[in-house]
Amino acid sequence: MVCRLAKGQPVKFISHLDWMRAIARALRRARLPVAYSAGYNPHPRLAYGPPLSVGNTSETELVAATLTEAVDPGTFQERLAAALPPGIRVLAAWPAPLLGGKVTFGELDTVVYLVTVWGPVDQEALNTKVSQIMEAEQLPYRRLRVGKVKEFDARPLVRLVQVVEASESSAVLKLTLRLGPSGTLRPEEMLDLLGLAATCHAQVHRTALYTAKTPTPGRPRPTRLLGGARRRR
Amino acid sequence: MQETELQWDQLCCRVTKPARYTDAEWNAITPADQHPQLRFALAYPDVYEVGMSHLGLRILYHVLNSDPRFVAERVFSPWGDMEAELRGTGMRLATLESRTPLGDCDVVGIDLPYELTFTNVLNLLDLGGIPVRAADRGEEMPLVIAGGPAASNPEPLADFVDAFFIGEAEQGILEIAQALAETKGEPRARRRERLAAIAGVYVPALYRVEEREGLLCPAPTDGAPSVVRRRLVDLETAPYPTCPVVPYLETVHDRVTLEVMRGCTRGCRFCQAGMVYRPVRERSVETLTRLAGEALACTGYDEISLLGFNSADYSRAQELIDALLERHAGEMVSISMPSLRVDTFSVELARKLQTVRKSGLTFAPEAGSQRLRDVINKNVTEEDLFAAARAAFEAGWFGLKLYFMIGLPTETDEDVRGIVHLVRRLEQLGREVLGKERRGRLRLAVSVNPFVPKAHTPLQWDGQAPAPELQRKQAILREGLTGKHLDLSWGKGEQSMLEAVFARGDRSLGPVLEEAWRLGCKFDAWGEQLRLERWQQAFARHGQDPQELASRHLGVEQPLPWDHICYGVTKEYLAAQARAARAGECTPDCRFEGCTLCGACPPAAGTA
Repeated sequence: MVCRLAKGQPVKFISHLDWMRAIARALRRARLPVAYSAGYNPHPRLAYGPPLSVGNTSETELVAATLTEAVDPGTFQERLAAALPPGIRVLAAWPAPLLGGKVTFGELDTVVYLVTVWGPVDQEALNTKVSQIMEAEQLPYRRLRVGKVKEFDARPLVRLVQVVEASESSAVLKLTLRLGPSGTLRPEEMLDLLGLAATCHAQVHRTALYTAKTPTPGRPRPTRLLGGARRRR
Repeated sequence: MQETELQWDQLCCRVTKPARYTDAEWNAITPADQHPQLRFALAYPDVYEVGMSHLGLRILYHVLNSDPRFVAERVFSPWGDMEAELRGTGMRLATLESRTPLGDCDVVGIDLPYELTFTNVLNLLDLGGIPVRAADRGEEMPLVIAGGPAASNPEPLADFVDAFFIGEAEQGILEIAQALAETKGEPRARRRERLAAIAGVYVPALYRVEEREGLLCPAPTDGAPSVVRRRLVDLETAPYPTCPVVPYLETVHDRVTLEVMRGCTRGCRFCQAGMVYRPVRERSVETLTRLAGEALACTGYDEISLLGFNSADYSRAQELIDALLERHAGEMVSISMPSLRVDTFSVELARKLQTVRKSGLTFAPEAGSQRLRDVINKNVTEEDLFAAARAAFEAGWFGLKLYFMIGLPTETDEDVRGIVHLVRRLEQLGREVLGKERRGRLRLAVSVNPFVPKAHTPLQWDGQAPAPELQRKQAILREGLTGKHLDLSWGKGEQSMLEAVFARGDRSLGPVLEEAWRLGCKFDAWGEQLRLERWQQAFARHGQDPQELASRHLGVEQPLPWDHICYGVTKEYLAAQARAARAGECTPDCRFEGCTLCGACPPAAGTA
C-alpha cells in the first residue's frame, strides 16, 4: 500500500530519520499488517520517498508498506489517520503493484515546491532573474557542504521556475526541479540563485512528486505514480 | 502563527536539531485549558534527547496532567547554539507545549539525576528569567522545587532551590501542587512553610547551617522537622504512564520501559540507589502484562525494557518473560533487560529474550579480586562469572560488556592486576567456547570508572582515590589489557572528581557552583564540555581545593551535612556495614536470607 502524507507546521523540524521512525510507529499503533524482514534484526518493510529537508513542509510525502494481507485502502487510511500525531496527515492511500517483490520510489524524477518569501521584494528584478535562469544554457553554482566546496551546473536540475504572486513585501514561487541520480538542487539553493537570501523568512512547501516523461527542461507531463491515481494538472 | 510561536520558529531555523525545542509529539498534551489552577514546568537539566529517556519525568507528567486542576509541561536545557540565540534576542526559555516562559509558570519542578547537572540547573533557571538564588526571587516568581537521585544530598543546591522533595514523588507531587494552588497569592515565605508541612519536603530556608568539625550542617529553626523522611509508594498501585510522549528525536531509550520492581537489597556497599530505594517492591505479573500491552498499543514501540535493579531478581521473572513473549513476540516486539546479575539463570533469561532481536550483555564484577569484591559486598565469585560468560558464549553472544571500578577503599595494585587477570581469562574462555571459526568476532568491552563515594552508603566516609593514584592504576590496566578482542574505556577523571565533591558536599559549595556557572561551566556531564580550569578557578576564589574535598576521609562519629535527610536505612547500619567492609565480611540479601535490620522497612503502623 502506498500512501501520501502531509508534513505540517508542528513537525517540520523533524529530520527524515525521525519521520521514518514516526511513521513506522504510527503504523504499529494502527495495527496495520506490515510485513517484517527476516534475519537478526527484523525491521518493518517500508520504503520512503525522497527525503524532505528539515524546516520544509509537504503535502506529498510518500510511504510504501509491504503488507502481509490485503487491506482496503479506505480502512488503511482511516486507521492510520487515527494513529498519527498532530502535524502529520494521511491524504491518500492506494494499493501498488510489487515490482520484483519490492516497492521503490526510484522512478520519481520531478519535485515541485511552493516557496513563500517574506521581506523586501524587487518584483521587476525577480521577474528578470527568473527569465534569465529559464533562458540560460548553464547555471554555475557553488555548494558548500561540511567544509567542502562543489561546483556544478545547476541548469539541468531546473525544469521550471514561476512567480506565482509577488508584492513589495512577499513573493510566492513555484519551483519544478529534477530529482535523481544526477543530483538534486535544494529549494534553498534555488532561492540563492534567484538572489533571494534564503533566510528563515522563507517557508518551503513541497507540493508534488512524480515521474516525467520528457527529458528536457520545460513543462513536464506527469504520468501515473506507481499505478496510483492519475494526477491532474 | 502566533507571535511567540513565530519567534520560536525563527530560532529553530538557526540551530542544530531544532526538534529539541518543539512539541506536537504523539501523546504530548495540548494545553487546552489555558487557565489551569497551576501551571507546572517539569524541567530536566540536560538536552531533550537525554531528558525524554527518563522514566521519572514521564511518570510525573502523567500524574499531573491526569489531574484536571493542573497542567504540566516540559522544558529541557537548550544546547549552546539555542542558548546563544535566546540570550541574543532576549527571549526567555519556555515550556515546549505552550511556550510559557519559565518565569511565568507557577512552579518549576527540576529533576536532579546526578551531580554533574548542577550548573545546568542554574543555567536553566537563569535562561527562564528566574533569579538563580532563592533569596533573590520576588513574590511573582515561581516556586522552584527539585527532586530525584541527587536530591539525596541537597545541600550544595540549598541556596538555589525553594523546596526539595525526598523520595518517590508520585503522590507527593500532587500534594505539592495542591498546596501551591491553595496558597496562590500568599507571601512566599508562607507558601514555603506550607510545603514544609508535607511529608518528604525539605525547605532549606527553614534551616540555618552550623559549622561542625569543618562541615556545614543544617539545624532546623522553630517548626521545621529535624529529619525529613523520604516518601515511598506502593509500586503495584502506583501510576504508570501507559501513554507516554513518544519523541520524534532518537533518544537513549526508544522503547517501553516497564518498571518491574523498585529497590535492591543485594547490599553492594558503594551503591547509593541500593540504599535509598529500599525496601524492594515488585509489581505483579498480571499488572505488568496489562501495562505492557497498553503501553505497546499506545506508543507503537517495538521493544520493552524491564527496568529494576536486577530484573532477574524479580521473583517471578521466568513467568513474566514467558507471558510477555507469548503475547508479543509474534508482533515483532523484543524484550530486553538492561541490568543483569552475574549467573547462569540470568543468561538463560536473556537468551530467551533474544529470540526476537539480539542486544548486548553486560556484567558488573566491579572489582578484580574476591577480597575486594567482599569489601564492597559484591557477592559475585569467579565461578559465577565464568559460568555466566560460558553460558553467554554458548548461547551465541560474541561480545560482553564488563564494568569495573578503581580507587575502591583498601584497594591495592594487586587487586587492580586482578582485573587484568580476570579479563584475560574471560578472553581465553571466549576464544575456547567460540572456537576457531567464530573467535575472531570476540569482543570484550571493559569499562572502568573511578569509585565515587556517595552520601547514604556504607562507603560515604571514604574519600575518593586522588588523581595520581587513579592514573597509576589506569596505567596498570592499559598495559595489561591490550589486544584485538579488548576495548577499554574510561570514565573521565575530572568528572569523577567533581561528582565526588558534590556528592558529599555542603552549602559552602553554593557560591562555588554559582561562580563556576558564571564563568561559563555547563553540560559538565558531557565530557568534552567540561571546563576544568574554570571550575578550578571557582574553587580557588572561595578558598577550596576540589581534590582535597573529593578525597577527604570523614569520621564515622562526625555530623554530616545530609544527616537531616533519611531514607529509612539508619546511620548505625551504614557504620556497621563500613566496619564489615574493612573486615571483608559479606552481608547477604535480606530477601533470601533473613533481615539485616537496616531500618528501611516501614513500621507496621504505616508511616513511611
